[in-house]
Amino acid sequence: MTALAAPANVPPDRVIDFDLYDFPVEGLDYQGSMRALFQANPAEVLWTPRNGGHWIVKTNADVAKVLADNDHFSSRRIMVTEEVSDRPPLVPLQLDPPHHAPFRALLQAALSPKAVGKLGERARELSIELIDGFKHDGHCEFIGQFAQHLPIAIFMEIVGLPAEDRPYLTEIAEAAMRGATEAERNEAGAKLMGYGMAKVAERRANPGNDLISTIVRAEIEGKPIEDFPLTGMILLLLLGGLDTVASTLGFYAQFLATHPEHRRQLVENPDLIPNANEELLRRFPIAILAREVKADVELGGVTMKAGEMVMVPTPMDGLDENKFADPLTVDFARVKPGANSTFGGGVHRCVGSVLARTELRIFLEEWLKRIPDFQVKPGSNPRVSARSVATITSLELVWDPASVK
Amino acid sequence: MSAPGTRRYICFYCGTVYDEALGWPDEGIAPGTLWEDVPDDWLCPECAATKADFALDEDD
Ligand code: HEM
Ligand SMILES: [Zn+2]
Repeated sequence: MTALAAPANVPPDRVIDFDLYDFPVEGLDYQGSMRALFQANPAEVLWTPRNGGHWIVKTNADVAKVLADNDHFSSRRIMVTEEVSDRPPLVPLQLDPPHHAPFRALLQAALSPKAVGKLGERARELSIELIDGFKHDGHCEFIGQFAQHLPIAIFMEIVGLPAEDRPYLTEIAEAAMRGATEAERNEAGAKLMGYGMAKVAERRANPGNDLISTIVRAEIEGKPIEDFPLTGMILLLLLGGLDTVASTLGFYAQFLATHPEHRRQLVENPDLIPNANEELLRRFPIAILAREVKADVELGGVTMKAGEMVMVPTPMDGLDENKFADPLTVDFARVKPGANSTFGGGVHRCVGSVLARTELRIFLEEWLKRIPDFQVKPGSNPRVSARSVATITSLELVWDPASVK
Repeated sequence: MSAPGTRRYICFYCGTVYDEALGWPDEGIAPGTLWEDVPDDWLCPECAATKADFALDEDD
């Protein structure tokens, strides 16, 4: 192998050849494949020349350290990439303390456990409606027919969008997140923003009880929020709340489709579902985060220099054997699987996590009640698309129509 | 609002409830332990959120 070029502060034994957007994934085991690649090098912190060159942390302790230390690690850049993006910064995600807190507080009220309690019932009705719609067919394309719809409908509820906009929003959200080319994704992203801003104008004129109305009326440091950060907030809600839940649902479904014993456990003993939900979240994190080094800092025996990027793969927390024994095994009886970084950590820890947990739990409950046995369609060969959110792009499932309830 | 000793605090991230009447015996917090007497470094037993991530349940 030829030597890979690295800056002078990178010890040669830390260098690996890792491309987040193109690395070999064994079957659909994105998380396990990533872990194996990182663990092949014994060093605590790694560095790769790909995607602009960046550090990689790979232990539960270092993931937590980077996410907790806002003095040295900034979220103003949250992706490892050489591309420059012209989209507005995502608010509050790309703001560091102290600017972050007042924006976050607005979202926090709308996504608190209490607020989510009511949304959960809508999520349940909708899940049942979707599943009943195709269960007698004996097959479905899980991502397009289920995983995408649930979070979009719930999002529309939170921000108070009319149900008749759902097909349009589903289509552009789908293209923005899963479009085949960068250009397609950008074009759909622009449409998404345009749609969002039109709704903002509408709510300014005619406020209601929804989250967009709350945001357009809110004042931060005595002033209304300007259009630019406001667009960033709406965009973050769309990007943060739709693709993440849909992607996680994809990993849940493929796991259950290929593990009849686990499926049976939950069908026979639904009381296991809340803990199973946490265990699946631990095993299948989808977010690969990044931070920009703000001031030189020592971590894992290296000096990271201001301006460098650090990749923070959330799977490396829940899959660290020092934290969870036998971490690749899914064990629905595992003790406290929920103490992981699947939803991030520190001040930016996911503000939508109660909602996400609720949507995922409801999927497990309502799906298994109706379609207790299902498989991946033989020969369909589903694949993981590796972006900063890992996604199964299409998942064909089949079952015996006579077995549905 | 409920009286000290009967208050409930909810974890923002996972919805786990700390009920003062019940304490959290598995973690050495006796029934009846007031919220202010729960150690500051106590973490949510389900999701490891911090004590500051819990909010008073205003309903009861
Ligand atoms: C399974 C589903 C989800 C996963 C795995 C997930 C994961 C994450 C992670 C890892 C972060 C931290 C990002 C970072 O620090 O760079 C985050 C932040 C965030 N998430 Fe989620 N998320 C999910 C669902 C949701 C939902 C449903 C919503 C909204 C409705 C949402 C809204 C947000 C927002 C607004 C932030 C930024 C918070 C801040 O900067 O303070 N997420 N999420
Ligand atoms: Zn919790």
